[in-house]
Amino acid sequence: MPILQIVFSNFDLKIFNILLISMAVISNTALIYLLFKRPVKYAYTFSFIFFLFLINFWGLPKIIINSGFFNYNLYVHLDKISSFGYIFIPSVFIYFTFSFIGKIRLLAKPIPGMAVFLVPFIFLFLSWNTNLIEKRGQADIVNNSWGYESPAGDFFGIFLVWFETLMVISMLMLHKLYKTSLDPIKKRQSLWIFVAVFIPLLVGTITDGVFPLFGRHVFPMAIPLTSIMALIVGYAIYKFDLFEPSPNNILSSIGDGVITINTDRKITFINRSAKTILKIKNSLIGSTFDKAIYFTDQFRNKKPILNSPVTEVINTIKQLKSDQYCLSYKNRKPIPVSVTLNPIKTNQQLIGASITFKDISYEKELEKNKDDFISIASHELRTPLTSLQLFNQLLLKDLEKKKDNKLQNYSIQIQNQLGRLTKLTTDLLDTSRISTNGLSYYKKQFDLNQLIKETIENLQQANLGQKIVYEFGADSKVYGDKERIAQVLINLITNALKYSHSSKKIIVKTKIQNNYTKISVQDFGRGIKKSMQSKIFQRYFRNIEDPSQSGFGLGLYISSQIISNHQGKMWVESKIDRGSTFYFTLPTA
Amino acid sequence: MAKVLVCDDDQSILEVIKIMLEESGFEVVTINSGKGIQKKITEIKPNLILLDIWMPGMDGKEIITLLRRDKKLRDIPIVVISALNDTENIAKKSGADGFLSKPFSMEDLVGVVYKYTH
Repeated sequence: MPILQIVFSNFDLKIFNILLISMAVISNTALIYLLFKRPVKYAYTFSFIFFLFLINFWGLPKIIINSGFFNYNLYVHLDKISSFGYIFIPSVFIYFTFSFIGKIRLLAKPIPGMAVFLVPFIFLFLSWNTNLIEKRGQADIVNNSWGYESPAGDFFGIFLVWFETLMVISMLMLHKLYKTSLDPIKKRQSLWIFVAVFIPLLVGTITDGVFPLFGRHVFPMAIPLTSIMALIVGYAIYKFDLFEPSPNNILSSIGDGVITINTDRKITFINRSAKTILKIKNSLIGSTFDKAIYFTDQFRNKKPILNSPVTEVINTIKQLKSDQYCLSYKNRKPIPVSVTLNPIKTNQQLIGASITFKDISYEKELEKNKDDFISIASHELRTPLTSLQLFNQLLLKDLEKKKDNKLQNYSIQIQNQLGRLTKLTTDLLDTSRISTNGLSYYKKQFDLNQLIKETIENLQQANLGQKIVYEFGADSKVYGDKERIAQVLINLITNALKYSHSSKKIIVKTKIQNNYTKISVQDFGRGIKKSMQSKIFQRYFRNIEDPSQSGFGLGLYISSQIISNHQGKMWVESKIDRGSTFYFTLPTA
Repeated sequence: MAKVLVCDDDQSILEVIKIMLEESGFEVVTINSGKGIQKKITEIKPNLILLDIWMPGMDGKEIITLLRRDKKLRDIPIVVISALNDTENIAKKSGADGFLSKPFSMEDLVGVVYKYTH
């Protein structure tokens, strides 16, 4: 005799059973409500709702059966309804599992599909027609303290095998998904469902299946334990969006390429657009990023770049954005992309990174056409500029001899304007060559202080109104392209002169720090607004609030590009009406 | 008197260079294309060649390679003229001795020519 029967009277146990089943029905119903309330419902959401619905179908009649109100005919009908519930549970649950793990196609095939949903009808027919109730009679039912199970009549054993087989297949599939999925969200979801369903399944199989099969009756726990299942699932829905598809399903259908990787740089997900952009046909899940797919530089070299941005994001755990990279798949022609890399974190812990990208071949093509045009145009302009300048020089010399001051002045004006024109074409040419990687550098060791001194002397002659002073640190031999560094200095100092008319002083300083030299150009002019400070190094930046500004807005862009080619940095510190200090660094030779 | 051969496809440049160098006391021969330059050089034996690196038809770099292969001509210094602003690199890579970046001034021009003829 089961232990419970010693402690409780039959009546107590029936009440207890009613309470537990009611709780289960209520919590399952609450869960059904919760699932219906989800903004988007998927095939597996509906199959899980149906699964819960069947559990209630199984449980509700039992409340009445155990209530003490006994009517033989009513009992028979309720029992038939109840059996409808549990007979279809494994079919619906395996349908749920298949659609949850994304293999619903297997069940859509005629044979397994028919088998899963037609076999239960056979059991239902058997259950309704060979009902044990009719065989055992009234007395037996009354004697059984916690209600009476009539599991598919005489075929209960076979039904149990069927039930357990489908459930075990489902559980194994969930377990396999948990073990093998590289998508951390899907992994967690499958674990939660596994645990939630496993509890009532295991205990229920023993109390409601194995014991009755051998003619023993213990307190049936299957239905009561579904309330725990409902609680777990409900908790997981609130906490982890359990029934939301892994975002991967959504990401699959968006227009941008999306690849996610784990911290070992193994590809965990790759969406359809990514495959289309990179012309990938096979899966690639599990292969290493930077091997199968890799970043190359913007000039479409086929070699992977040395410092992969992926490694950078994983190491720094910071977002990285760029449209200067290409993506290449297996030595194919690299595709220029605009890419954003983001670290993926759960509970403060880094679990991988996402790589989102757009094909910008067309934009790059346009940009290249523009650069080519600028390059050719500025190049072509320089030849007539040269002869203009030279002829003007001849003219000026002649006018000097003839002491014609008026015409001489005109000629000087022409000369100045030709100088401006030259500067503009130089900037354009430099810019177009920076963006096509055509700007070449001739680097060697040189004396930086000497270069600064010479540059200042030249500029001082032309700007007698403002005083340029220098304060040098220790002798500084740096490694770089002397002409280009001079270009940077000229740019910074002329800017300083231009934007600090009212003040009379510009200070140029050098300072050796560790293994680089820091150069600063300080003025006491009008200063730069905080919001502008990051923008001034951009290509074609022009301050629209300052109509007096002339030129293309390329000087600082070119300078910063030159410095970055020298492995240096360029930045600005500035306060309105106090002046600006531009800094750049160069590696000490 | 030092003899300078100027090769450029732009007539105006040729003209002004000729005037300036002649004023500074050089003898100047100009040709406006790379074709037949080798023959011309052998003929006039200049002390210096000023060569535009970017001419239609014949690349300045090819001319330099050609001249450097010729035993009789290989010692004549060559100064390349280019509108690209890293002419120095181009000069070094192509094996020229000096360079002039367009636009240049009279002082630049005369300075370079003087340097390689004295």
